[in-house]
Amino acid sequence: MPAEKGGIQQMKNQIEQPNPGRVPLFLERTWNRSRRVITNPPMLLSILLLGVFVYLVIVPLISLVHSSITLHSRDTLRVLGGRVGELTSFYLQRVFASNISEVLFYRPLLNTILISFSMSALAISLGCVLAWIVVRTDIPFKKLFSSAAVVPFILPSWTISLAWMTIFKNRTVGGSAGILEYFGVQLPDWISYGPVPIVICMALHYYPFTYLLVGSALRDFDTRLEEAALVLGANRSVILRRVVLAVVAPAILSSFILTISRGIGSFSTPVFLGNPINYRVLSTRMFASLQTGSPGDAYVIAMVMILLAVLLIFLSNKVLGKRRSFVTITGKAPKPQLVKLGKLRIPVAIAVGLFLFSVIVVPLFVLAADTFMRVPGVYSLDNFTLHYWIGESTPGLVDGRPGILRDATTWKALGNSVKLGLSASVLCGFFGILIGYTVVRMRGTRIASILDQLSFVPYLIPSIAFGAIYLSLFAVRRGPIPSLYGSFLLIILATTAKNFPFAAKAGSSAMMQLGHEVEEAGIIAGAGWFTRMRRLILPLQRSGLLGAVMLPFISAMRELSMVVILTTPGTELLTTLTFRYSDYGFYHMSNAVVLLLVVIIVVMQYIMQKITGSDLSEGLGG
Amino acid sequence: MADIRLEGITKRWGDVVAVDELDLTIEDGSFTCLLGPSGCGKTTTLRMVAGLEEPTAGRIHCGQKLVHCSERGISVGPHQRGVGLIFQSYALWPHMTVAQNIAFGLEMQKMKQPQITERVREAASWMQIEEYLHRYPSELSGGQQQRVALARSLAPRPDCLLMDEPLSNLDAKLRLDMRTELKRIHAMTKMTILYVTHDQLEAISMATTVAVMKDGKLQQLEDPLKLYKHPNNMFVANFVGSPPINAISGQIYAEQGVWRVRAGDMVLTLQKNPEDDVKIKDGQTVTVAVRSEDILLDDPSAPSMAMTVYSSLPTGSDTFVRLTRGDVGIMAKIYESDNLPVDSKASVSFRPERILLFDGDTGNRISLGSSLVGFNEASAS
Repeated sequence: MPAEKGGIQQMKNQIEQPNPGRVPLFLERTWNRSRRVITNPPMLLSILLLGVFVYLVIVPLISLVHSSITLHSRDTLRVLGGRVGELTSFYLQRVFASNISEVLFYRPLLNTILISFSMSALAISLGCVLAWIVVRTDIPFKKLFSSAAVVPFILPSWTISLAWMTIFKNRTVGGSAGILEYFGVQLPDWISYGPVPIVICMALHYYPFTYLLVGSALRDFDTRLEEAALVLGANRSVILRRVVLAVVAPAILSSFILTISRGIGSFSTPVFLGNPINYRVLSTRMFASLQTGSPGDAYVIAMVMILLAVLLIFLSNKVLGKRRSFVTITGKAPKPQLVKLGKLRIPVAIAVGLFLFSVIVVPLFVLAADTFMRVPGVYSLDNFTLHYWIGESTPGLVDGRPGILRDATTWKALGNSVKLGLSASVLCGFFGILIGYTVVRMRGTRIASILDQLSFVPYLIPSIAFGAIYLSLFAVRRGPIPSLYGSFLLIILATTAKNFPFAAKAGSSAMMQLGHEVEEAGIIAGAGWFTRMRRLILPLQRSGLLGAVMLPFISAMRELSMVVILTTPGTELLTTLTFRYSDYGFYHMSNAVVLLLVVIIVVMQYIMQKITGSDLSEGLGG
Repeated sequence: MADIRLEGITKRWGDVVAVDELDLTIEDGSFTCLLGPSGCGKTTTLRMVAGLEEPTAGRIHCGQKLVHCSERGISVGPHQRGVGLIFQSYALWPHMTVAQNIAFGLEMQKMKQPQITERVREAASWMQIEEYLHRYPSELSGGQQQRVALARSLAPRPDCLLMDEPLSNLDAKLRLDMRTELKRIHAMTKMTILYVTHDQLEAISMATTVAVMKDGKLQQLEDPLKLYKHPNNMFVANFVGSPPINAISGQIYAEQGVWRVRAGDMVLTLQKNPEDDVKIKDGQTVTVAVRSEDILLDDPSAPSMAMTVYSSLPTGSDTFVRLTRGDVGIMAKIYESDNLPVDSKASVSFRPERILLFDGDTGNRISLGSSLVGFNEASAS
């Protein structure tokens, strides 16, 4: 070796010569290196995507904070000597420390917390029990039950609320009464409106989170752990408590976080069931502030909602981070031995069947039935009508509007919804793939982790607050960006940005699965970046791409709380149309539109599952 | 055709040094194996040669062409280096047929269609996969996929073929087949091949040159058979060969043209190899290393020592015998099938000029091969 070493040294000296005094070595090096960095596609993409994120996520957030501490034109008279755009603590003061703070903030905050916690508790209990029965017992009709159990989550979140009202509505707020009142049952307000129905309806919508997470934890659960306990002489209840529950705990905890953070931002159920008796939560209070022309207050409340959500995620990461090891020890276990229910097998099956029937079929049936009644609340056959579906415009009936299938408004809203869904999903799919590609290719660099985290930010922000953010940013002209309020583009932008987390997740997991060798083989073959993308990567991402596209589509179709503050009559969507009809008291129309929406969503969901073969749990965020 | 020269190549990720100042020349037309345990930097080295990874420091030449120079910031793209690469996972494009996979690189070279067809057929015939040209990779077995990957790399006729553990996903029988195949391809094409593996048997049986690496450093660059016989240090001695080389630790004393090594209750007297030219210190710790097949049992012609049979494992063709004496244990491989009873006695001798000596502290080689000329029990003192 020593002799060779000398040879190489000589060679080194020779090579260091050919560049004497021409260009300093470090200049040549810097020039060559920076040229390579700049022409490196993943690097270029990261910079581009960083720009997109800053514009669509960070700037709006900053704008929200800014809007909550600068004076709006309407309030110039309320602040002595105030000028528009001046820094002010007026809104903060009014929300947190004034004589209306209680109505404006503290009571809604308390209500929000109360509702979120009780709703989560109920949803988790329901989800756990259902998951355990369906996964671990020998109950019949397993397949049917397990796919039916997630349906309430697929339906728009306010479907159950509307059905609740149709059944339990009393005469407190005028208009027609619900089915029960019609049959002579006197209902107190607390059953018809307010926290109790809100908690129930929300729990019935959100329990699938727990069902899916706990269900899959139970499915992966190594039953040998149970058998070990059995051999050691533990009885069934001890095993359930000390072994099963302990192992499933992380799944329960994460579903708790998921559920409660949704609870904090939830808008549609409280608005339908709380507003009639002035029962407000943060989201509905914020919406009211926007409508009554106090955007400053609304922005302050939106900030509080975001902080609450961030706090929850932070806490969950702390708790879950420590306990995650529990989940990972599950190996490929032998087929789990099912718990024999014995004599209880049929009664339990009937109970589960009844439950699912009453949260899926009954609400939809009630809503449907309602749309076929000429005079609301009269349950007789001669009251049957198809008017609300296909009727001609009749004066005196719902302001002389034609049936929804004849009404241009419906078709326009449907068109808008589809347009929104398509544009948002195409944009999301596009960005999802780019984000996934960039993050995976640049893995280990700072810019990749920044991108990864930024793409997650919209997840932290409750939808309605996200809407408020976009409103605050684009309501007025800012620099070169014109005011976008009232434009369809704004709704598309907001929906796209809100769906970034899922698109990015779908994109990067697809890229991870693909691995880097497929692309590297292309690099070696001499294919340029565009050729590699077009001929090697994109064709292999088809199903991943479809996931990144379909999810935002469905979620855009049923999104209400975010778009409700961004739409104007010209940009009406199906979801906001149901909201508006119900606001006017046109429950028939509202119900009919919801049914239309349900049909579309269920069909889309079915197609997506057929094509991608994907599990619903991916749609947890949707 | 070209040789590949790596000069002072270093790759760092943060504080982790994957490859450390590596100087290595891969001769034109050689079949060079980078051999080492996982994490020794061999795959990183290969990827740096391919241009998929950029060295932190150093220079790489492909023939006359400077393809990487950290000082000047030069780094030529992979496709301009004239290399082909076989991945461990084959990395066949699953949405393309075998023919399309092979044709892709040719298309990228802007070749005309008739010529592409011709080249695809040619590469397929080399690898005997003509009948699968219209199948998709998922419809092929692992061995067939491997052949497609090879055909895909060979079709553009690279100057140099790089392979990253290409056989590790195959079962033992296919692996043997592919080894013979690869060795033939090398002989046929005279192509320079750089082959990464952790399997010493693969390296010894196929390569014309083996580069053993450890912790990012080159340990030895050698003809494979010499590597086996004359490892530079204890690491190489241990890594190359199966079962691992027998190592007995002891103290060495020079005495009138012979070395005496005291190990446990034995004193081995070794005749120096005339080629050895190493100074030793009296009392220095050394490792006496002997390959299993260089241990002879009950050979009356050589000086021998008495040991006890711990257990013996006949394989049918030969027998592995584990022998002990005090704390010293060795494994012998004898070329006959025999089932020696446990705890029976055996007289053990070593094949002449096959005893390697390594410095006990540095692990570096002291002797190229000494002979055992005497054996004593250590005196009580």
